[in-house]
Amino acid sequence: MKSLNPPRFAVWLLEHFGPEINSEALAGDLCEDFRQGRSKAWYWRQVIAAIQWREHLRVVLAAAGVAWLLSWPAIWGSDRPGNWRLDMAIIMAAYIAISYFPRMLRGTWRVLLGLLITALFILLFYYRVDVFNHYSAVALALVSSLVFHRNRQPPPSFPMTYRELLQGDPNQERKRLITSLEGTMEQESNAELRQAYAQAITVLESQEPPIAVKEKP
Amino acid sequence: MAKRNNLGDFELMVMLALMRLDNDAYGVPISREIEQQCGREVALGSVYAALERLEEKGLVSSDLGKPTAERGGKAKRYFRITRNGLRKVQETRKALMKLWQGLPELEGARP
Repeated sequence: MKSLNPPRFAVWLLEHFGPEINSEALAGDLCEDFRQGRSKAWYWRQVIAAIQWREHLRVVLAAAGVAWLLSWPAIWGSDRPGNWRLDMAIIMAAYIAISYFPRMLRGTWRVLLGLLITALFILLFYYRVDVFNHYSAVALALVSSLVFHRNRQPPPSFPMTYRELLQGDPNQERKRLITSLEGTMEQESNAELRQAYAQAITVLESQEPPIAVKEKP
Repeated sequence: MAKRNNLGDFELMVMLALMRLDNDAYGVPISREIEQQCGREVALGSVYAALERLEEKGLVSSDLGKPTAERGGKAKRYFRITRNGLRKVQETRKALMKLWQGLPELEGARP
């Protein structure tokens, strides 16, 4: 019998290496299609197509470039201590971690990892000050990226359908209604009714755009 | 260098699919609409990549629906064309119509 759930590893890959903004919506769409009878092979094809390969290649190349530049004095025999190959590997790994960890980890895990790295470097400061001095900039960059990371959000939306766009702005209709209510309220002598009109106007005004034109299922 | 702001072939297809679906435009129906109308299989990832580009250009807007169990607890993201998007589609259509006008009829163009 066919499983109702898509392959776990493919889902993990999609969530961590797929599009940054819409990975959840895409995972949901693929799950919906998969449960309507698509095969595992189809699911994998979709995941492979959704992974931002060019972006990941750019990160790896940038990591190699930065590591090579920063290890330059060690490669060409300056007085920096340590093995330049190890330096390059650590800088590359840190660059890749800075690029991926903040968005892969949820808030609590990000904080825990940041604290763990900080604790490790405090220990190094006491027991291996040479190593601490050598890699403190790398650690600082890594911890900063974890602490100051903000998830990318889509720009604010203005939900109007194509037909509403063609028919006109629904906010115009709302503004017309407010003006009309204000006119009626001024003519009304009953204090309770005037209060009710005032409340209705407040509610309408609080829906300054964007206004929801249709509730989602 | 001027910022590239023209609609690509696939982006135009996505925009037209959004207009056809109107109030129910999220990933699955958009890709199905393109598949049905254009007869080509599309990857959902490509549809989202195009939608992200269009949203960055301000031609499309989106909002989240509610998470549902049949989607593994994931929410749908509904997309809609913006006023600028509609203008851009109209401009592209006019430009394409002008380019087509005056061309000798293509062989096999008529069914």
